[in-house]
Amino acid sequence: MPDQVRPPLVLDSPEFTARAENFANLMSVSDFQQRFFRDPSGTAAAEFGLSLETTLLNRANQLTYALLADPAFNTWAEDFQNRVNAALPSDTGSVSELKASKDRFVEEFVTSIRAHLAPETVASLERLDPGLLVAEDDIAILLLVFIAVVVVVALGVARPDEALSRKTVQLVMRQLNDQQIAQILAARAALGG
Amino acid sequence: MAERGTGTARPPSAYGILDPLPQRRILSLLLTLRCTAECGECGTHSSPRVRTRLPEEEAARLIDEAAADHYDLIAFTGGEPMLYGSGLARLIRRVTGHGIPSRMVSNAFWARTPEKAARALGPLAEAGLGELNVSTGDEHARFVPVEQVLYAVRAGLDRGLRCAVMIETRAANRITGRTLSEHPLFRELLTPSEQESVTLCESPWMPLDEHEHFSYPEGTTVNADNLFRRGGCDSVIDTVTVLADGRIMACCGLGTQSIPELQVGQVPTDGVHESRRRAEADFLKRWIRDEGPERILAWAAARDPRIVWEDQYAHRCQACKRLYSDPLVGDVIRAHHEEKILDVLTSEWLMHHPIQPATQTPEAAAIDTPC
Repeated sequence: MPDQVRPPLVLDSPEFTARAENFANLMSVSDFQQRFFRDPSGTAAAEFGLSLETTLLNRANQLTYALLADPAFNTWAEDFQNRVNAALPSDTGSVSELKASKDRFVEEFVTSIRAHLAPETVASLERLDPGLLVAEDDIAILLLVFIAVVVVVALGVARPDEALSRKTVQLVMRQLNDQQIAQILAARAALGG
Repeated sequence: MAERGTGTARPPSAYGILDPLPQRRILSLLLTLRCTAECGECGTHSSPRVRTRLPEEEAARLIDEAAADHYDLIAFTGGEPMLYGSGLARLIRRVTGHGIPSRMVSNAFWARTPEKAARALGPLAEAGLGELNVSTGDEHARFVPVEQVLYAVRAGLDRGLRCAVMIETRAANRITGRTLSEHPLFRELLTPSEQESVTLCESPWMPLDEHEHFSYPEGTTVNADNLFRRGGCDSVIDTVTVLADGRIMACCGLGTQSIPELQVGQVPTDGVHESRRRAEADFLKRWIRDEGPERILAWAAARDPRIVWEDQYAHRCQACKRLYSDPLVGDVIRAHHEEKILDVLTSEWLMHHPIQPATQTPEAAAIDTPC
């Protein structure tokens, strides 16, 4: 079919708008949030009119939610941010001083994470070898190592706390392959999680 | 949120690192398509011969509307906005009056000497301009020497503006972020602290034809191995761009001239609010905002192996243009997009809304649920 007779690629059906509004309204209720992530397929079918085979929520979203809703992870994040703010100069000092402080902080941060992990785990993470991830601690710690190594260290950001955000968490989740996720979940199960 | 490129160390983040992310709204006004330069593959088709300009009263109306909708930034670009005349300072003053930061994107043709740079920038800084963003690279430098870019940056810093330099990138380019930072004038004009405060951003130079391919530095083009580094598009929906001819577009990208589906309004009939609403009503635009065009191409290719996408695109706008213009990709999207709706809505929600702490072990919930 010639391009000029094809309809514009715009997916703005009234059904989509209605679904999006319905989703936003329902998710504003905390009980619904938990019910949705516990059973996304069933909830979606019942509430949004999406058929079962099209409602499997991808792993990245599920794991992102698991992390963001985890009280322990939130506590860690708050503590981390406080430590960053205490360790790095705020409204005084040059950018050079900030970078030097950042380097010291990242070193300390990675060292503290390394203390939770076997050397071979750290080595495999630093090589970013997707097939060698060995989980031996909490899922949050493993994911934080990814964040620290992949984003903070590898990309060389100015302030570690600026690099960490929900987007970072999501980026890391999307980066995990099936094998890594299986290893993380298996390790977590082995630890009795 | 801390801004990039400031001259001093930044304050601690205003947001907690796991707080909901704000959706930053930008209005970009292409005031004129006239430009002193005539770069090959110019994304806006600007040149010295084009005279199309956005009427000042229309630009003012759109600024007022953006202010009412709590926009976070107004960007003046083109073409070359400095060719818009005295109306530019008046519009910047109007933006400042609303308490909104402003940015000008320019090629620095007006900065022939340090003195001329200071004179040209003075009225805009007095009107409240907050950020100067200078474009350069091998194409731009055919018309504006890189030294003028540095004079412009010096003048901007003297006026307290945040300064950034956007550098077009292709393989074997003469002008890069590194060569610019090693330029004798860069070191002569700027203190070490100022050198670090100026954002030097390399951006792939994009052919307008999606079937044409430039050579880029190794690792720049997207493929299955580096796809994980590509996030959602920061521009679509959240940046409303008004072209000099009055078309209102749903992004600031280089595809605004060549992707008809990105048009969401027309001046003077439409405005900022309604145009954004139309953009947000389109699932595909929300999908692009959430995942980016590269992931959607990869998703489509998994469903139709005739779609070849790896190692073809360095600039994401070119990947976006492919997404909209390739009938094979369009057919897959039309046939299968419903399976992505819930993921995209969920992802949007996860980024921008408060999340209640789980009452059961969240990992257990993840394990229990079939993926």
